[in-house]
Amino acid sequence: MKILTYILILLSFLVSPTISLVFAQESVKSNPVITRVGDAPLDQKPQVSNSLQLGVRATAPDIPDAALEGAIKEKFGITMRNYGTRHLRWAWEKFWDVSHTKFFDYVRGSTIFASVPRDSSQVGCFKGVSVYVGTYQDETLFKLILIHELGHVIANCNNREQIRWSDYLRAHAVEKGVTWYGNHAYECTKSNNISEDFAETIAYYLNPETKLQTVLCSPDYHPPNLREDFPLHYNVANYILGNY
Amino acid sequence: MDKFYFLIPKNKPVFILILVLLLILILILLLIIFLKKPQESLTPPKISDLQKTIIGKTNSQEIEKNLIIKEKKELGEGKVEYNLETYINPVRPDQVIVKDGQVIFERINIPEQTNHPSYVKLSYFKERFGEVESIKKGSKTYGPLIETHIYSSKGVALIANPFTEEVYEIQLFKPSTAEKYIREFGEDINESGPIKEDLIRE
Repeated sequence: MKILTYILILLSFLVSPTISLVFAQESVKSNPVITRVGDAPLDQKPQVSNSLQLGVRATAPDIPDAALEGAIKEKFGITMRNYGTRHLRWAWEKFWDVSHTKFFDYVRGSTIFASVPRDSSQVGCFKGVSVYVGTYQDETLFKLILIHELGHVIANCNNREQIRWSDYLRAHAVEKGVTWYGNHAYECTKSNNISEDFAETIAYYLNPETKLQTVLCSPDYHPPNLREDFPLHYNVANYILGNY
Repeated sequence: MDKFYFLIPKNKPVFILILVLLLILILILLLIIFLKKPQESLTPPKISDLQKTIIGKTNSQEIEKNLIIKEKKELGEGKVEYNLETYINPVRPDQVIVKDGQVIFERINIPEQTNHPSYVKLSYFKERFGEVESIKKGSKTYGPLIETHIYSSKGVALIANPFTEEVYEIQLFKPSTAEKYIREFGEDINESGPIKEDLIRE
């Protein structure tokens, strides 16, 4: 009898925590561990802008050649490496041209490195090189591709909420890409449509007067009119950047 | 105090016998817990409130009855792919794949709103699962800088942005190896490296 009591007392001590442990594990498994505060509705409608107002575009002040690289860094937070005076001045002008938008809220801290002509790509965010942009000989080309590559920085280096990523995906699903490249990126450069169409949207929103298109792979030369032909894309760009 | 005197062992052999019996009992309990684990590993853990199925348990009838299906595709070898109505990402919607009537894969798009209960970053999974087992850089959908983080032994893969740490998609599958996951469900992985955009003809 004594032995039995002894065993029962000890067993009750040993078994009860083990059972509790098993139940606790089951409880954790059956309940989601993710806990977050707030509950924003998923089906938020995109803010549709019907504004036809254009922003007030600034003209770049004329500064000495030797001051360009430092001035771009100081004024816009963009580091430009390996560029000659001509490309630095074009960048200085384009950056002033878009400076009234929210463009630099998303790309400040980027480093742009000159690559051999025609090699442009995004390789990182704000540590080391962000993008390579070719030293194109045509001013309009250089400015368009400069903004296109920094469009990739906007997409990949900022939270999706800031850039209305879901609204953009819906725009792409409905309107498809704004250019041939945005619809045939893999054929063109082994890239992908979502990423390239986003960059194209930013590039053409901030270069609406350009007559150029990503023609290396495109069968036509018609640049997109975002406002007229791609209103959902236009609204996303307008939300991200404000009026151009 | 006297009534508890019997707890003090007087008969050593009996006391040793009791201890041995207790040790055996503990071993049995540990074995029960240990043997339960392989069964658990057949199913990935509950990850998100947006999860609609339990891998290996939910069946085709439940999917067709309970979910809003946008597209149903026969993949052959007994596999059926269901693409679901998704507001977050209509380009690459939530998806469930069924084989021989049971779910073997689920893809969940994660909302971008940082205050959404199901918004999640990579650090959450690192805290929960430890170091990632395999990382593949490059996504056919999202671009060359986006990565797939694979916790193959947990049956979980994440498509995520390494710069912002945001998880774009959670994928669930039966725990296996990274190679098997890549072979069966890793169609989005594209390791061709940074794109050199030879954009415009001058």
